[in-house]
Amino acid sequence: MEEICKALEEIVGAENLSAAKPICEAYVTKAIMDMSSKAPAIVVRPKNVEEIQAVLKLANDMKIPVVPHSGGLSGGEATPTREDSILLDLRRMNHIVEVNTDARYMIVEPGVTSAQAWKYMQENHPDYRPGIPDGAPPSATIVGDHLDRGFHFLSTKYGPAADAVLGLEVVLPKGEVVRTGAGALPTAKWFYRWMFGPDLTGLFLGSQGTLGVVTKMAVKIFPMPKFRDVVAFGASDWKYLIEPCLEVLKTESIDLAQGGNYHLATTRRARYKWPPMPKPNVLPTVWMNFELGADSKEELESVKKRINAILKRYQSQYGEANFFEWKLDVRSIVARLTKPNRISVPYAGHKGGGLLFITWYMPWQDSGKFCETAEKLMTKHKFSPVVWLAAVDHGRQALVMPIVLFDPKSSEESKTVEALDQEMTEQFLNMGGIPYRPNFAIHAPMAMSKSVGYYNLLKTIKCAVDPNGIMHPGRLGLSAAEQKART
Amino acid sequence: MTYLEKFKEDAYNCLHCRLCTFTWMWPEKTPALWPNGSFQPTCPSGEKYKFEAYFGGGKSWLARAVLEGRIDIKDPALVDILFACPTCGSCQQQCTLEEPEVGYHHRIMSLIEALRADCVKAGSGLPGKQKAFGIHIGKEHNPYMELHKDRLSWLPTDVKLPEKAETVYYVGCTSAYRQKELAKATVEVFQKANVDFTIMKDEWCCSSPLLRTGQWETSWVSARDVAQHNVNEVQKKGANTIVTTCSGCYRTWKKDYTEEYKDLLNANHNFNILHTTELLEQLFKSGKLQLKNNIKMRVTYHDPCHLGRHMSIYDPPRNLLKAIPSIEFIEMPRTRENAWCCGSGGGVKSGYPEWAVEISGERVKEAEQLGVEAVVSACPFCERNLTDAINKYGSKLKVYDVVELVNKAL
Repeated sequence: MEEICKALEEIVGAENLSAAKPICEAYVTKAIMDMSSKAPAIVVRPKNVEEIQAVLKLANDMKIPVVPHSGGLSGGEATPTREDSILLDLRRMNHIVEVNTDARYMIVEPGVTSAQAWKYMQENHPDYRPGIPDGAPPSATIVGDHLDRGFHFLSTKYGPAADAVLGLEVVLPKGEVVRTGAGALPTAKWFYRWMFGPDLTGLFLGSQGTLGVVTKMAVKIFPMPKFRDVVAFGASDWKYLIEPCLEVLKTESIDLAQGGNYHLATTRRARYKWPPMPKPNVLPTVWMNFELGADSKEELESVKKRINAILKRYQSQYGEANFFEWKLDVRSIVARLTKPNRISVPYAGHKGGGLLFITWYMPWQDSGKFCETAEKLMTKHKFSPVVWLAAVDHGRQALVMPIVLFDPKSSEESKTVEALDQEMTEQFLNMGGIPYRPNFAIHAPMAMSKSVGYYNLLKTIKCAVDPNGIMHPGRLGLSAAEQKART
Repeated sequence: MTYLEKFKEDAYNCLHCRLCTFTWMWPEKTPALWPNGSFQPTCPSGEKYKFEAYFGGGKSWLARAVLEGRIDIKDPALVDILFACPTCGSCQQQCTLEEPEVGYHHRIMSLIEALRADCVKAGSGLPGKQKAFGIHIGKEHNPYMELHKDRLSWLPTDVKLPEKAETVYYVGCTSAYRQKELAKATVEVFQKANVDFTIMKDEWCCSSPLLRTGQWETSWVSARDVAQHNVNEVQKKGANTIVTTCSGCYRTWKKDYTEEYKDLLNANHNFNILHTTELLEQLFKSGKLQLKNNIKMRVTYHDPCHLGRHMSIYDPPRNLLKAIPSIEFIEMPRTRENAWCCGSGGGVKSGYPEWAVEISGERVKEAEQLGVEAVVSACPFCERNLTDAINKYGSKLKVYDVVELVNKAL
């Protein structure tokens, strides 16, 4: 260990390196996206690409696992699965390298947070806005959210955050630096995701740090509409919500469509004690918000008129008690339209600081069944059945996110979370769902065992790019042992 | 049982969302326009040392690791992380999970102080002069290495105070030994406003430096003895109100004696505790304080952490400043709940003196950018550290306490 630290110290300087146990332990997070977090053996804070290259060359030579970590907002997912790892804390690399309002992209380093990007655009390019995650704290980084195929506040309109990536600069495990997309050509701007051949940008998106360290990313920026509003539908059951919403989504005029069930509204803060209160009449059982944006009042009214016509048609079919417009007060509308926001955090207060998102992708038409199944399983395991639902790419896909609120002080309850996750994963895979950010212990192994050809290809790619298996071993079912078996 | 175990709930209430790492000021007009003070650095410790452990969330997860036995309380790296923090409370302020009104807590400050006390109990901690001032408080009742007999040397000989009065002006060690002009100004203002007050001849340190640095129950000093002495002395004066100019003393008298450290100190009381700015605002509103002299000056206000974030007193000092004729008052971008700490609290001034001034230097820079002539505060400890930064960095800013400007305006 001393030898490794000495070598790393020569690369980043003594003040940017620590193997002290308390320094390493502070990166642990057994929550948010994964509960199987381990403290690294060493934390290194590189300041530039050259330092990362040198660290990776050293780690590769010595076969030490490396875990890239930008903002850490993926929780346990952004921390090692093994205690002998080097954690690369990338927050020193926090420059906004370029903004191009004609080609409409910005290039950022991994430490650039949503807050920083938003403020920068507000101050320098107020007609544009970056795609930042909705609900997550603005300490989340642009690179982390896009790289992890996150959901941003325009994902209903433009698809998952990863779809907005136009190119990457990546340090590969052996220390080479590559650029993908148009930026791969030294003379070209980063305006286009594709270069010649296959989509090598996509290769790294969703790779959870298993293929290299992303040091720059070009992402699309989007116009800031002058007028915005929120329209909300309520329903007595998921079955009354899905079809009308799909018809609205097919108009392809919605910025963001997201909603959930009564428990999503009421477990937001610690004041809603466990078990949750019975539903008051003023709240719908399930609902969906549609965030709208337009350049003129007339355009906005026209979209609202179109949505309301769809609502009225379904209302006459289902009955007013089963499907209705939910009039939001001004405060709720302002809260929804305020970006960035931090709406997701207070849920953790419901039961004592524990929160795990178990999120799945599926076709929109099937999302109601997933929501119902999630509610049943969570109730069975004695968790508040909190379910969030969002539309992606105009409802071509849906995201169903059961939010498991648990007491982290209880090791029994943490085990129950795992049992729930296991059971839900089995059912959701059988129902045709795809895990959003597969966790280390359950989702990745179970999903990969059902997708043998895909998994083999993934392992082949991993072996080619990272033959010593140093990058975030264990993630995506890509442990060194499995790689070794392959080779 | 360790001190930390009392706060086990708090340790586990951290989600580790990193909201504690920056300021949060909601947009004022439209949802899209965030004020300048938003999303700015807020944690002096994290900004200096950069590793996650130095931010509030990191410290909360360290508390878990200590509770679960993965880190030894005497680990030197842990000790440094815990003590290199001015306990300004900004991390706790930014945390959306802290909901005291419903009894749900994520008291990061309490976690840090309990961990510090566990360190001290285990024989570690107390960097720089912290232990020395603890010993001195035990002997001479102040942390400044001064003699107790000199505590009232600042008091002009012509000031005659009654033996008993309704109000006790609790001077505090910093005003008594270092910011003596503030103590004098306070007495002058009280006299001009006809406040029925007196001063304790045998006033001791309030115990704040001991509580903040984990010197709760040691072989060299007992925070309980110190607190109990002060309560007894005030009782002898027949007073029902205590007024402090020092924000640290204010917090200690109002919150630590009666709530936070009630069990430890056993110095509960029923005195009405007021900060000078609260009392002066009351007097101004009732017409007993006439602010008539012009003070042509462009000023800004620095919120002391122990008055603002720790005790939610934001408006009285501002209202007084705004009431002074001709003063032009401007807010700093990071203000009120989001104010950047002056760097002197939590034992940092004695444990890490150079860094304390660095922290203050950032505040001075923030004030300078407004084009003001002076930065005004409501705490002698802030005043002292801001002055140190001004001297170190060659700033032309002046520093005042609100009381000093009120005195000029009377």
